Formats: sequence, structure tokens, C-alpha cells
Amino acid sequence: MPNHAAIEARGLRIARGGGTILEIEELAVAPGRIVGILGPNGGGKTTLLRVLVGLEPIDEGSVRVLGEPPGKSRAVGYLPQAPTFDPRFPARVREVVTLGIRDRGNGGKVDRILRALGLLDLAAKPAGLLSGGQKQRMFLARALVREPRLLLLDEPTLGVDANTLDSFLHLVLEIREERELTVVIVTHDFSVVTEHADQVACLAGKLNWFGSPSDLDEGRLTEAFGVHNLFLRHRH
Amino acid sequence: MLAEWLEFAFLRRALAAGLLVALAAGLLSPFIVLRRMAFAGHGLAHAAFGGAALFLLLGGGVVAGGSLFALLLAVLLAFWTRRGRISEDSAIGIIVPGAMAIGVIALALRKTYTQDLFGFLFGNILSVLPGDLAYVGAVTAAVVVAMIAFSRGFVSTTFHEELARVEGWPVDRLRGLFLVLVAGVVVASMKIVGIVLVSALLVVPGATALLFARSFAGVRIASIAIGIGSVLVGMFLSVVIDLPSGAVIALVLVVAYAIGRILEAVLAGRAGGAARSTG
Repeated sequence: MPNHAAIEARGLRIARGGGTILEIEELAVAPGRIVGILGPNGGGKTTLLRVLVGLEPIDEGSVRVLGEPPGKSRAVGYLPQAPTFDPRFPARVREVVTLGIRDRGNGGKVDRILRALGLLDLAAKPAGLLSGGQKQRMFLARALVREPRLLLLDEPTLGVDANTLDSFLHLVLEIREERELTVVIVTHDFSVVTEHADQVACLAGKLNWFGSPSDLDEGRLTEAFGVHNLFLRHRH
Repeated sequence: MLAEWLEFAFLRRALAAGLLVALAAGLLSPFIVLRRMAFAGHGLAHAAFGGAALFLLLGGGVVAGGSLFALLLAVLLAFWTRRGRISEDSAIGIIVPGAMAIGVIALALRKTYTQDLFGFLFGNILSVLPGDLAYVGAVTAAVVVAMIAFSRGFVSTTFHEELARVEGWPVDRLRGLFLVLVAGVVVASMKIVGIVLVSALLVVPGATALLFARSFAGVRIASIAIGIGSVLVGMFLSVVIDLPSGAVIALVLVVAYAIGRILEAVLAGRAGGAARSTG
């Protein structure tokens, strides 16, 4: 396997509407890490993930994802923020989950993921009839079923109950024991970051801080976000 | 009566062309509805009108002119709307009036009677020539082959375009191909339903099928069946009561959709009643 960082960004600048919305001087994520991205609304978290999957153009700087330019690697699983689809779309849950992969015959792999996310009993249900949280789980399953080496999750906790989230994160940890998997999670849920992440990135228009969650205290968060008591308000 | 019909070569051609067009439109229709591209179909038809009128003025064929303009618009749309730089409906709203204006000016400059163009606008099954049938056959074959070869790609990009892009599907190329196929069907349909009413054939079969079918295969089959059934009934009625084929087929399609909506409401009511009685 090539020896490169899962994600590398240097001198990255993203501008929209005449202003800079995201700046990252340098960011390197080693393979196999779980990185949580925290930050206020509009801080550039979703933009960063969209840049990494090649959905947003880069104005300045360079980005490599699994050693390739953004959007080129096929080993990336992606959960967009609050994904939606036409509820009339005539497909069942299993079909939607397997849409993103070529070897849809690998039922065992698909079943394992569906089971872990509590979707196995819903596999034959029309996707348009799922609840909001069930849809979110279906998209999580679709991101995982591609056997990615890099998993980019934008607000995976939205509409998902604590048990499902726990099952999902355990599945991710299980997969990580079997093969190299880097995970980047954008979230407002501090407990996900403090309990599961190896590293934390604080984004508020620019990368203000990147380090271990154990070093993340109220002072650092206040400095990074410019908001008082943010950490304490979210921790419990 | 059908046997009498089939004795006439022009009716045999019209019937064959109608069935082929219904097959092609039925295959594309669910995607047009789910991708919310009904306006694109309408726009391509209007662009075809501009090309047909211009070629009529210049002494060319209406099919050639219509094909050229519809194809040009399809390619222009595919490039211009890539990655959402401009929305599809805005792009159509900008381009189509230009094409229509060319058509209206061409008609104004032409001093002779424009029967060809009337048939082009509202459908005239008497005007289906052997060459037209070959054109319709080629377009239908292209649609069938593309829908089989790129089925998964079309389904995936229709479900969620951004996810499909991240997963490596050539979203822009598939979208461009789809627009070209719609342009082909628009022009192929013009002698059967006419370009003014072609959107009925492109939208209604899929919209009706989506009321009931729960799998993509089911939707495709239902959409094709609704398209073919409506074209058959519409053509038969248009001959019997001597009315423009396009208008009758469009009305049959709209009635089929209305029946579908009523059936859907009745079935939903029954399901609701059953759930309440067991709950």
C-alpha cells in the first residue's frame, strides 16, 4: 500500500461570493485515524468535506485524498449532510444501499452492514417510506458498503438515535480492526468526538486548532470558536 | 376494423412509428419525472419547432431542422448546466425563446401554406413516411441500447446526483446522453403527437407508473405499457372520429393519469381503513 497521508491539504483557500469561506494552512491526517471536525455553523466544515470528495472547486492550494486529487479515488465513502431524494423513487432499501457498488452480489457484506445499522428487517421496504432517521441509516450503509479506505461523514448523528449511532461507530471500529480505514466526522456532538476520535479539527472559517481530543479544553474551544462556554454547554 | 386499418400502408407505418415512439418515451419517462426534467422535454420540443420552421423556409426537411435544433439545445444544456452553474429551467428559459423566435420569424417570411408545419406542431399520422419510420426505429433502438447499457448509471444519478458523482459515475456525460436521447424522441414523436403535445408522451407514462410501481423494473414496464396503450387507443380514436392524432393521444394520456390518481386515492383509502380496523 502506498505510504501517504489519507488527507493532505496545503495552503488551501476556498472563496465564494467574493469572500474567503475556508482557509487551511496545513492539514495532514494519517491513515487509520478517526478525526472529528467541530465548528460553528458556516465555519467551513461541510465545505471541507465537499472539497475532499471533489464537489467543490479549490481556489488556491493543494489537496490530496488517499494520494490522489479530490474526487479521483474510488475508495472514499461519503455521507452528505441531510441527504434527500425523491420519495417516489421506486427502489427498496437494499437496492439503494447497493447502488454505489459494482459487486452487488456480495450479499453477506451488505447484510452485515444492514444488520449493524438495524436495517436488515427494512431491506425490502420502499426507500421513500422510511422515516428520517431510517433514511440517514440507509445513507450511512451506502457509504460503508463501498468498503472505503476513507469515510467522510457530514453530520451522521442527525436524526439518528443513540443506540443506532453506537452500533454504527462500533461497526466502524470493527472494520478498522480488519483493514485500514480513516474516518472524518463532522458533528456538533462533542461526545462523539471526545469518545471516539483520535484527533479533532476546529474550523471557524479557518483551521484554528488540530490535535488530540484530550487536549481539547474550554479555553482552546473558546479560542478556536470565539464563543464562551461552548464546550460546557455541549458536553452533557 | 384493425384488419381494415392494416391494409393501408400509411396506417401501418403510423402504427409502427407510434408504438416505437411509445416504447422509447415510456423508457425515458420515469427518469424525466424523477429528474424533474419535464420542462427540458418541453424546451427541446420548442427548439425543434424553431429548427423545423427555419429549414422549411430554407427548403430543407422539417425532420432535419427539428433534429438539428433539438440536438444543439440538448448539447448546449448539458454543457451549460454542468455542476449547477445555471439551473436547467433558467437555461431553457433563456435558450428556447431564441429558438422559438427564429421559428416564428421563419414562418412570417414564408409566404406559402405551411401544412407540413401544422402536422409537425400537432401530429399528423398521414404524414409518416418510410424514411420517418426508419428514423423513429433508429432513435428507439438507441434509447433501448442506452437504457440497458447505462441502466445502473442512470438510476444512480437519478437517485442522488452528488453521491453518484462521488461514487465515480460519469454524471455529466450520462446527463448529456440522456438529454440527447430525449431530443431524439422529441423529434421522432413529432409526426405522431406533434411537438406541442410531445411532453404528454414524455411525462405522463412515467408519472402514472410512479403512482403504483415500487421497483424500477415495475415502473419501466408500467410506463411502457401506459405509453403504448395510450398511443394505440389515441391513434384508433383519431382515425375513427377524424381528429388530430396528437391531441387525442395527449387526452388519452391525461385521462389515464387521472384514472391512476383516482385509483391511488381509492387504494390508499382502503389501506387506511384496513389499518384502522386492525389497529
